[in-house]
Amino acid sequence: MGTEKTVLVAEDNEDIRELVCLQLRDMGLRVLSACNGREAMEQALQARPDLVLMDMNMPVMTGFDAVRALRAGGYGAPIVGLTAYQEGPEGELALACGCNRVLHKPIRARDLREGVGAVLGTGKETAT
Amino acid sequence: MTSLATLAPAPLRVETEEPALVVLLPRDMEPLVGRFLGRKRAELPALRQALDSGDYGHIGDVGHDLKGAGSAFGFPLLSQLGRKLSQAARAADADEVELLLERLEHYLLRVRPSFI
Repeated sequence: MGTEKTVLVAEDNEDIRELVCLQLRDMGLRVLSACNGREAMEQALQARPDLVLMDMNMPVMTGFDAVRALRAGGYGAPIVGLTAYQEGPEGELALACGCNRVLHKPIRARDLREGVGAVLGTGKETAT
Repeated sequence: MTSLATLAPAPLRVETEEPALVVLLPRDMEPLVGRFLGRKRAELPALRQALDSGDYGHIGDVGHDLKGAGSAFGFPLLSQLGRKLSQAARAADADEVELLLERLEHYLLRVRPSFI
């Protein structure tokens, strides 16, 4: 019985999206991707990945709105927000919308591994 | 007869080739890094045009993206330049943007990833 977990990467920056997808596949994960918040919301509600990595600033629909919509739609798996701002309210707002944790860009491979491992490893983190 | 005083030595012309900036990166990143650097280099002419036309919005967007991606790909200097470019664009500081574009061009034309 396969235990491969699925991660949805929602990121409008093509460079970062490619890199993160590669790093996640190297971790043995199955990867889906979206390039805006609406696409991310629709894919997540349909495919029900084990984890969503959500860039908070995306076109069409922001990551904030996508996260709110996912939680309202009953998506209970972990969501990790990706933010470009080390300081400021963006990280706090991401958590308030329903993210379980936040990673700050530029994302180092080590931080990605630790962050993803933390939310997928225990399987205990759910929507707050 | 030509006097010694008129025999000025030919000016010394020394052409130096700046060494490549070698960055060591993991082997599995090789296919992505080539595309990444290619895209960044391809953005340079549009950045110049944006500066000429005063389109600081475009410059700021490119700087913001570069800030987020540079270090992730193993080029922390690109993240630094991106951050500064984004700030200079927000301030509509043409002189600073010009300086940063020169540094960005210099780096992108000389950086050479080496995969290990």
